[in-house]
Amino acid sequence: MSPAKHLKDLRQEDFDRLLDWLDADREQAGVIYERIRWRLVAILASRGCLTPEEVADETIDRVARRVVDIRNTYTGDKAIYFLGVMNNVHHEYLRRPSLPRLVEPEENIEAKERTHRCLDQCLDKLAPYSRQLIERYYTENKQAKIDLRKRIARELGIKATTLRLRALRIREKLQTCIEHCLEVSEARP
Amino acid sequence: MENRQNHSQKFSDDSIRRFLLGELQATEQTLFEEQLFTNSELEARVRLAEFELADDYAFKRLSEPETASFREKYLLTADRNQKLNVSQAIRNRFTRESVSEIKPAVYQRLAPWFDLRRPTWRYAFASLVLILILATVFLVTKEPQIVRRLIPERFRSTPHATPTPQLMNHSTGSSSPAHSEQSPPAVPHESPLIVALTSTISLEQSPVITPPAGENAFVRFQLSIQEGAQGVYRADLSTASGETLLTAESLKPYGAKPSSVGFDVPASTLKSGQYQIRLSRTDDPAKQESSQYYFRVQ
Repeated sequence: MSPAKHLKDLRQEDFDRLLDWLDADREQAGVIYERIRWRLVAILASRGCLTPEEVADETIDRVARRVVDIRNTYTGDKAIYFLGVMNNVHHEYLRRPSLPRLVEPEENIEAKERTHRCLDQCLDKLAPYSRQLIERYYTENKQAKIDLRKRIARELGIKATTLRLRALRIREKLQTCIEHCLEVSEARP
Repeated sequence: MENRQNHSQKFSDDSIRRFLLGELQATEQTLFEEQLFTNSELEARVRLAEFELADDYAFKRLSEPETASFREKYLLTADRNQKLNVSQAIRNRFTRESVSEIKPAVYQRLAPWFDLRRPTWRYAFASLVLILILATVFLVTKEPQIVRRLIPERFRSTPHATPTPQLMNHSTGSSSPAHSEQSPPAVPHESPLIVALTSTISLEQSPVITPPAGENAFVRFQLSIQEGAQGVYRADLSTASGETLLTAESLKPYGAKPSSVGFDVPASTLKSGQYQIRLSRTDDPAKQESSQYYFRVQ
């Protein structure tokens, strides 16, 4: 997702200035931006904020507007600066009247089918070893799952924790692939 | 860098999961937040833990409180919802359990067809019951040999003889309708002693009888009346001293040209001594004449 998608009232020049401040390499700046935003959202959700994405975007907006003032004087970890601003924005959020929780959207059968199709496509794109590993990793549940994972780790000559990390990294790749696949399929007429 | 990694190790996988579910204590939360912003390794672990948490929810491995926290505190962003969608797709794709979970969906689709409250089913059951009843009736009436084959021998009811009613007087015989059915054999009993008495014989001339022995033995007295007489009679058996021993009512003469009335007396009633039988007509007050019959027992 493009970083600009999250921003509402931010002027393009402020956003460009923010990316420049994060890193001279625009691509690297985009990566840093996404990581900072993910952290903000994670922390706000953990604090019980019902609209973590909105508060995170508001935080980024404010930082972007201040960059012009701080870029020559701020010397610490730039990410930490976002954390400080987020605390202020979150305090303001807490003082607002609480909004009712949005009703969970109904199950979208079509979206589910699209996800299943994308999953199949992305599984096909995995290396044979990764595909075999992920298929076995998710086959069983409960006690059978524990036993199976111990057996896989033994077969591969690795620790169970290492197996878990490998499987989760493949899972992460699948997620990225599926999200990309879904964006493409939604973009099609 | 090493220091940061050490900080990351401070947080267990359980702490990371509690952070994601919003269950950390305030002090732990503050420290975790700072580390998350400065420690790339912790960030990577949290990212992976997000997948694991979504998987555990999709695979129904979370406890009830964790499930509630997951819905209320974790599932707040589109990104996380998308992770959960993928986790559910993986579950449906790979696990054996998902096969059994598809069954309810199929069942839900088919359930209306098996709803016994549907009128169609009601009519079907009513028709089935009716067909069964008709088939049973047909079998019993038209094909009894099949029934005999179906019902085991030991449960089949066998015909058994019923004792013939013990009449105190004889029927007229010829007036009975012809009956071709074979009667079951009567219960064997001892043959009665038949004694014909006339009212003209005095006590001194009366016959002396010896009643047959036996519990069921009886003596049949044939009391002579005017030939062709009809009506209903009553007979009273008494001793010579006048003690009434037995009374029989509604006695009718028998025979084509009736000339006597039958009167059965249990043999055990008769001890040695003198007896008289008084026969009187009860159906016509104008003809209430009575006759005396005497006999003696040895």
